Amino acid sequence: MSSLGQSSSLQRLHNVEKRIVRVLELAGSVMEELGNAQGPRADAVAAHCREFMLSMKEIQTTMREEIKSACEYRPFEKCDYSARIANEICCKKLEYVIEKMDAMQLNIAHSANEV
Amino acid sequence: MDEDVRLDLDKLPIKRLEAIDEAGNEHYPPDTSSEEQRLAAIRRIDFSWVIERDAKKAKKAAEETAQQAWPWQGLMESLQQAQQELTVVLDLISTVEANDAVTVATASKPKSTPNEVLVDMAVSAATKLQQLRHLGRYFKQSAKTMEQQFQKEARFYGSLIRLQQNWKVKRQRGTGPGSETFMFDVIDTSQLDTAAMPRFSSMALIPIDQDSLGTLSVQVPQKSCRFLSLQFRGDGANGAENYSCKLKGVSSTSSAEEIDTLEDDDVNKSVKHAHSILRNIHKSIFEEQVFDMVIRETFVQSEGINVTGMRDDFLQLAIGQESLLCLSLTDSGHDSESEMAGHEEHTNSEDAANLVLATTNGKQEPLKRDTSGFLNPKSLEICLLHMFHENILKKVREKYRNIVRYPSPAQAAADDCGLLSHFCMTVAHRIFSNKVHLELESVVSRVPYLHLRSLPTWHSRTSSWSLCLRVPQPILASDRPTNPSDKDEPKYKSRSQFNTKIILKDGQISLLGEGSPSIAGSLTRKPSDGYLINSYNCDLEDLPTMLLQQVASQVINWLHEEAVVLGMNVTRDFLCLYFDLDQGETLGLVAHVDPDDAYGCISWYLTIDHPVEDGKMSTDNPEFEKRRLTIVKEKVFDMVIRETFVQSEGINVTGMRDDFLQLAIGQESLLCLSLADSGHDSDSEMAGHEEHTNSEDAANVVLATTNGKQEPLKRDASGFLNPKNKDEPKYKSRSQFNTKITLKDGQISLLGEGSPSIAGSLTRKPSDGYLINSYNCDLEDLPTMLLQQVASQVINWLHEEAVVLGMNVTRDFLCLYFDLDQGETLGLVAHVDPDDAYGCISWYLTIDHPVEDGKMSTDNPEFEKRRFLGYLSLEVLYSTLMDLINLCSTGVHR
Repeated sequence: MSSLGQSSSLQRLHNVEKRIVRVLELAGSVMEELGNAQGPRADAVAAHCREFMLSMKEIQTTMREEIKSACEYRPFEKCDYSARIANEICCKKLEYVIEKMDAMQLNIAHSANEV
Repeated sequence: MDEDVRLDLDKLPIKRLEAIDEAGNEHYPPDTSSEEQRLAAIRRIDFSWVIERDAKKAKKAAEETAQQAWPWQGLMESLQQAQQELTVVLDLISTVEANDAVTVATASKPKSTPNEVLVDMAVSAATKLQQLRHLGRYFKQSAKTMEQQFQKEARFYGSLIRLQQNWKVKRQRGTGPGSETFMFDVIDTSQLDTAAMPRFSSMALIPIDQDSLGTLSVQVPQKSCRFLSLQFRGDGANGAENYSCKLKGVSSTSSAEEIDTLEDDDVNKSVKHAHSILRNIHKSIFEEQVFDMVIRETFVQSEGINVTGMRDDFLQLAIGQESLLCLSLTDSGHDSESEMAGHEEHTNSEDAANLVLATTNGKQEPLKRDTSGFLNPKSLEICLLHMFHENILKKVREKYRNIVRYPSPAQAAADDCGLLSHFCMTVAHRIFSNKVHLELESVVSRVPYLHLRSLPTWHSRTSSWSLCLRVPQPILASDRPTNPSDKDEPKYKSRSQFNTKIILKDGQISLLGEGSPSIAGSLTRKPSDGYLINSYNCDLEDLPTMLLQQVASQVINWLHEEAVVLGMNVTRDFLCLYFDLDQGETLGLVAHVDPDDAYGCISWYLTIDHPVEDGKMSTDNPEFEKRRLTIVKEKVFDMVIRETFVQSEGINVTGMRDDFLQLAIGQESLLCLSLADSGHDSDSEMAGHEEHTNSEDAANVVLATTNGKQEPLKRDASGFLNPKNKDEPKYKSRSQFNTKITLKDGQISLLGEGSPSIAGSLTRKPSDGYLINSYNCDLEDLPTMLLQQVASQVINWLHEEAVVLGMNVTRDFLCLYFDLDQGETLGLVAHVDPDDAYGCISWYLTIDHPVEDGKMSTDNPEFEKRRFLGYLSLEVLYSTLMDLINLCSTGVHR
């Protein structure tokens, strides 16, 4: 996956999702504010709405970029399963050799003890 | 009236709206046709009164039979009628209302009071507030659920992307909502020949699940993974228990439902777990593929494949005539296939009933015990997998790139005869190679100057070893002329090792040995170093004997070369080395080769052949030597014998037998060198008596003297070290006196410090002003001379001490004279006797009265003139001196 700057695209999308959640919370608090028994506080409502609009703008820009870069994303094209099998066989060989070397080491230790 | 008025009202013939759909279109009922209208009209005719009349008649008929009627019957009937009337009225009203044909004269709405208006407004405002709050709560709630959803999905998709780096993910759109599922595709379709491999579709796509927290998990049924297992019949199940630990149990990562946020570790764990499951499945698919390919290879008859049993997941091959190879697909976990093969006893014939016996070449295969228990089946399994994988890769490469790759020799061999037959032949080769190795080891372990080395070969059906015979450097190696121009001549180069190479190709043993031209076989001269190479084939049973013969002949060859270099007249046979002695005799060094000997394989005999007898070689010495000691002794003996044949100064051979050599040393001692049992080892035993009674021993031996010079043993006995030279005045008190005895080739010379009165040359050492006596003497006189020297040194010391103290003393050879008053002389005399048992230097005190005959009374037999002081130590002597001095100075008489 391509990574621009520090975060990966998955992380950016996740950030967008968090923003959406935040936006919804803002909407909810605005509604609650409007539903306040004493009447809505204009400044609070205005602040919430400003934040709302900014977040929306940011969401839009990020989504636009991501959608553009998503077209460049190529899924798993080259299959390396055969190389993977070769590696597994190599792992087996290595395990076997290590086993033999451990046996040799034991033998040396035994013979050193005896001597 | 008993009949009610019935009213039928028709619907007004206007079009009535039936429905409005979402788009705003109005739907009207369809126009009824005239037929339908007529039918509707007919239906509207009420025939109920007719039915009623009939019913009444029936009722009347029934009533006559009925007894007493229910008293409330009339009330009920009237109520029913009333209800009917009411329903008619209501229907009428509703119809009228619906038709809108009749407007009901409505009463006018009463005017609402302002209170009511306000109340209405308040109510609506409150409702609006309520709805707003409701909306706010709705938004917040949805935010929370969205957050959870996002977290869950982020976890899932994050894991999925991590796994997607290694595994192919496929997405499937199912029917119905929410059934878009992901799957892992584990089969590499580019490699598969799908026409030939139909059986793996069940395992190809693995569904991905996510649990409530979004954790990704891959579920695989427990027993669906099957792995290849290769075993020898008769071994226990030792292969498949590795696999049970590969599939770790699903850890309880999903037990934290109550906690919303999972740690990253859990996510990592789940990803790793999924990854390991996918790895296992992938491996299992490959191994099943290999098994399938193996089975297909068995259908093609080729050399070396010998199938003795087959099931759908099991294949049994016979290798050679002794071992059975079982190839099976087993589940991870428990291994039911290998249990069948895991009997250690020879009760295998019953098991054969379960197997389908299919032999391709018709041979009967007795199920013997497997002798290759030490051949590790795991390595063979790996080899098999590797071979088939290489083959697959090669095919893929050729398919896609149309490149012909030049295969390695191993690959070429594999291609020639098919993979499985190559594998079977490899197994057979390995088994046989182990047997050869055992034989080699048993030979080499008993011959300590042989070293065995395994050489690597890059072909799986070839093995090679090298036996290295190390010979010690000859003693005269440094004396040999090594002309630079003679480097081409191999004769002068001393060799340090002889090599024998054993090559095993598919069961054919061939030996290549250096340097022994007498063994039957083809000779090849290696031009590079001029050594002769024997090469020949042999069987396994003959291998130890051939090797030992080769090695022994190499030893003989080496000895021969050494002897030739030394100028000896030696001839060589296959395993014998003959020395020509004088008088036509031949000394033979024979090597005896016995591969079954427990102590050692190569033993040596010395034979002597007297031509004065009937010319036969004397029989072998029945004594058996320990081989190692024998070789050492043989070398020493050989060298000694060689040296005796070279006439040189100092060697005086007085006797020689086949295992015995006697040398005269000087005129007094005889050195006997013999090869004997270790019980009585008379090597270097000095038959050396100090007397001269050795002439009788010479009667047993053949006396042959080469010269008469004596060769006494050298011995360096000079051990005294001179003190450091310092420029000191004579007054300095000395702490030690040194005497040096030097022996050169039998000439003894003494160098003694500080006694100027002994006959001999005096040398003054100018550096320290001490006088040195030096003189020669014989061995018999040596003790006496030494003691005299020492005694005179003591006298000298005492003299100096007395002089320092201001006494008037004079010194003679071994006497010290004090001048007493009245002309008397007190003498301290040293008496030297080397044969004295108590001590060698004894002291006497003498007194000499000048009034008597004036002679020195040194040998006065009267003891009163001569007082025996005893064997005095130096401290006592010193104190005696002091006493004497006091005596003299005080003038006390005896």
